[in-house]
Amino acid sequence: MSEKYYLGKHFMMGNHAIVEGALMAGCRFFAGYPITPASPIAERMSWRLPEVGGAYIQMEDEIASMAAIIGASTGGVKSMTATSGPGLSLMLENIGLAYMMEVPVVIVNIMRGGPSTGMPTLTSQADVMQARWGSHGDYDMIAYAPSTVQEMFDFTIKAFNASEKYRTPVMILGDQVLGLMTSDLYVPHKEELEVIDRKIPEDGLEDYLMYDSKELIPPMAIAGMGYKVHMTGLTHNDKGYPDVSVVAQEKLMKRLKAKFKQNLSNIIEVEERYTEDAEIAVACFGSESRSVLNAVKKAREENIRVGIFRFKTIWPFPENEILDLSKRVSKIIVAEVNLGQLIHPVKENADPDCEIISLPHAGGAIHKPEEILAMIKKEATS
Amino acid sequence: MRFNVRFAGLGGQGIITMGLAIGRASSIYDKKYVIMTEAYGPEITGGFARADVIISDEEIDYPLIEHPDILVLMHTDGWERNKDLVTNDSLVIYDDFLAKVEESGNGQFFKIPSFSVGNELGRKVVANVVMMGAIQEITKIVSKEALRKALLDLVPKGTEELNLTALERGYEIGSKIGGKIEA
Repeated sequence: MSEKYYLGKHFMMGNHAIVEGALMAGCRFFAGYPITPASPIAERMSWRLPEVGGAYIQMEDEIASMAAIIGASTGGVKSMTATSGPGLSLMLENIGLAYMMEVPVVIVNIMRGGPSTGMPTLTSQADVMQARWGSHGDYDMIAYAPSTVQEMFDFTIKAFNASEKYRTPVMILGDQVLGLMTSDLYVPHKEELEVIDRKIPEDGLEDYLMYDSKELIPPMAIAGMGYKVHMTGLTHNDKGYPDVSVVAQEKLMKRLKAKFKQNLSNIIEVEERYTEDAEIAVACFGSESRSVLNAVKKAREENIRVGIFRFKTIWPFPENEILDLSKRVSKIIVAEVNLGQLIHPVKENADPDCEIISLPHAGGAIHKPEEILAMIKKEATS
Repeated sequence: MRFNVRFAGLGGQGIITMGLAIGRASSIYDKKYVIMTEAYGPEITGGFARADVIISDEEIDYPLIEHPDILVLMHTDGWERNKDLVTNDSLVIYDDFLAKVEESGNGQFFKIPSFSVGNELGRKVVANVVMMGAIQEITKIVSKEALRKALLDLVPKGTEELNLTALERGYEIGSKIGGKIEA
């Protein structure tokens, strides 16, 4: 099957850039249910996947969509779904299943105003905590937060790579502003990109174990390879058989946790600008960070020593990076389009001598630069 | 140099297409930094529709428009929703049949018979293309070569000639008005 990519320079919608990034990363299956403002992802997938030899299916709802991509991924096909707030709520149970069964999948959440159906056509960043804590039980999530159309493409490839490398579900947290924004995109040749595929066992191993606890990330047998495997959401042993016991639970949970703990420096990505001499830093992510950057540039013109700290990954939380920042600045303003969520892990991890200030927004729009600038000025003089 | 351009009208008039064509022309062919954002009502046609295009020589941080330098109106609804944003420096370019605009107070106003010309050409739907031609001549925010190429990238096969004719008619109307703006 020939593979068709649209290389070079584009003027493309953010949601569509996610699709192109996913296909470049090797995604060949998408299951989803349409929802504003994420629908352009499904729509483009529906005609792009056949062009690269993949398959698209519109499911009856988001619960089934999540189940379908887990199933497809166990069949060895890189898989993705895309939704927005209410749809993510429905996917949560199966996100836990993907984590427990260690199945690589990518979930895109183009955030909109909530709770409930909220504001379908307007933006928000209020699903930050849901991304991390939404499913039940102890689990970890890797969440990328793009802020440009180019990053929608680039971070989608990173998300697939991380999910394949760590055998885990990975989330992309976009929002309505980014998803429906059309801007410059450059699509490079596949050869110029790093694309990671999951480790699979060699054929015919006699002692292959799907959940071999001697390995941090055991190679994943693909359905049809011939290995007899068992996958379950129940606590399981190295073979994958249910073992609902204190001992098995501790062994499994600790290994799953360690996948993240031992790879934090490989996963976490943050960006700092104008922080070299800064006394104040504004911490932010996603579309909001563009407004912050504008405000920081204006404040710099007025000789205010302020910088920007941008989360490119939100989860796992960059604990050390925030601690390090908090030792260099006297104040951190946390600007986010919710009523104060990311401020909590910032507070928890910052040096106690650094003052942490919330700049919340109830949603529907990102902050205007002058609102952020006003806060910077207030904090610079107090 | 940075231009904030807002296209406003109703769903079905090709408002988003205008944003896409001028945005694409500026981005791909004029090699500027461009961001387009869009907003529309839930109706398939007839609801409000808006496309905002920022064209800049520098990388764009804040992606939204507070005050348009250029406001393009294809319907009275667009004027009602945006008239308070017009400043003394704004150019308001509007369809003389579909948009009722009170030309008092702030801004510079340009009346364009885009709907009538579209009608003359036999297809009302090309009114937006006539308008784009006029915008190009009046504002020079995009080059003619780039706009032509971007338009041809976007229009359905078999309609190229009609669309280019509409664009030419827009140029003629715009050139009679003239008035390159200084940013």
